[in-house]
Amino acid sequence: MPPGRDEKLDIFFQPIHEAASTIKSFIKKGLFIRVYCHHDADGVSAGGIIGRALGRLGADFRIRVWKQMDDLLLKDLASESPSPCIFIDLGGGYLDIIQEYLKDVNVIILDHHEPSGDPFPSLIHANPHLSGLDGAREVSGSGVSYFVAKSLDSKNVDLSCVAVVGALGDLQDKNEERELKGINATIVRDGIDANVLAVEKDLLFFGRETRPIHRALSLTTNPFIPGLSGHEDQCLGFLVNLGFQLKDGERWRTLAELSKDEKQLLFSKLVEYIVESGSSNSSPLELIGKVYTLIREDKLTFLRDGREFSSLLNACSRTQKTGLALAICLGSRGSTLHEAEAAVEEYRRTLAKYLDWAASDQGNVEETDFCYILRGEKVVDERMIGSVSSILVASNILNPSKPLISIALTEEGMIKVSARASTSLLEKGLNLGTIMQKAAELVNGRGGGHDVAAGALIPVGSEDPFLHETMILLKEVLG
Amino acid sequence: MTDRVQEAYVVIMCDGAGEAESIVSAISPDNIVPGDDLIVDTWNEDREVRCVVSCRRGLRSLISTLDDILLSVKIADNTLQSIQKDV
Repeated sequence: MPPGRDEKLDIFFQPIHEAASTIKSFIKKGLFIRVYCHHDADGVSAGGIIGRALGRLGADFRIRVWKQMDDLLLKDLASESPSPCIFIDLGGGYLDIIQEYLKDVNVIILDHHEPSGDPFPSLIHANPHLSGLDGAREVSGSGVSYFVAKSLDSKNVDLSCVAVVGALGDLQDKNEERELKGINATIVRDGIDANVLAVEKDLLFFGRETRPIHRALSLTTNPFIPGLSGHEDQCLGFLVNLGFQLKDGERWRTLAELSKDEKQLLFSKLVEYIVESGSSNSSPLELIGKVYTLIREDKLTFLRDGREFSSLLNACSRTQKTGLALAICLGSRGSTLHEAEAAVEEYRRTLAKYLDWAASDQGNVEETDFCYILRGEKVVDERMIGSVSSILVASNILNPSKPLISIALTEEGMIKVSARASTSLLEKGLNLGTIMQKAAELVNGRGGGHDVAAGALIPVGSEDPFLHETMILLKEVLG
Repeated sequence: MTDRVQEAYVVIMCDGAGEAESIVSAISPDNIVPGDDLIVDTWNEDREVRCVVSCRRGLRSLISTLDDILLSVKIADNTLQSIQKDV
């Protein structure tokens, strides 16, 4: 008989408690702890949680932010003295090479990605997949790290809000009303009980705490509102026509400052607008959902709203300022936050430049029978290709009946592939993760991911056979 | 690119030797710069963070590098203070 939910949870929490007690023994012995976290929003949130938990225990430690588990990192670690290593939000899929380089080192992995490889005696691996739980929706890397921190000291429940930021950054809110569910819901409850988090149902505009309302509306692409998404002037006109007071003195008001009545009016007018526009891609109900507010952060800053916080971390990561993102998660504010805000603007400008290029009528997006192809090798930064693809698919620029396969060149001289599709294609049984995995393996690359968002890393020169195989696999599902 | 080497030597006083060591450890990955026309070396001596930048890329590049280093030191210092406050 397969294990029930309670049993799965018991199995999930066992290595978490083991990791916590092992970390305590490291500290007691005065060992130097080497921590490596993944560079995305979830990874740096997780790094921040473990860093703060270690700091509170007076541990001697170092945290580095890393793009991916690779030989370079492991060789470097193996060349140092063999002190314990903690890998956060990375490593679970690389057990074999970790064992090869670090078999005599105490290794703790706190991850939520699909595991691959065999465990080894000096390894503690906490990962929802090992207990049959969903690592894409139930709990993220920062969630796993949070439970280790909580097991280290129950006072660390105040870090639950950082774990919520990580989960939102990992898009674990792919549920009705964009709600965090499963194990994530336990973290949310801890946050509310610890008085660090508030949850309410509200309009889900992007930039609700920091952007003028018309700009927040124009930046909202999920759902995509034809004529408003991406059109700041039109949004301004829309709101002015509704009679909204958009300024408080000289300062633009934000969505978070609107009264309940104003929000209700705005929602009902947006519903009317979407219905009248006849857009089949936009459901007005997607405008409403759970909003996670970090109530101890200052109002009208990027850190107050969980999704904006995660977007700030994401922007730092994409602009190669991962140290800033980690510093924020470790609690640094003031000039650190100002620098991170500047990174958001840099990220937005670069993204806009790439989107302009992709959407220009010079055939940069090639349409084939079963997908679109964006060849960005010489133009788009590898760190941005995923974001560019997601926005293009969420917009109404492309036909939602075809996925988008985008390509960029990495610093290491490999080809990075990002595949994105509209959720409407799930009905046809599309799973881009499987397709990327199969097509990448055919050309000696690695691929995988989720059903509507996946990726691959393949050798330069293998693009054509890779794309050919992708087409065949797509035809089987969509043809 | 110019053949002329421009160098800057920076000394930052910290409150303690541990703090100086932590800051150097935090910013040391920034020492790795591709090419030999820009070399950054950072180390700590007692309570001081010391840094030498040698640059053949022109004065503007030298100033940008110094800006980056000082910013990294500032962020590292802020973060250390926030962790210490957290304990």
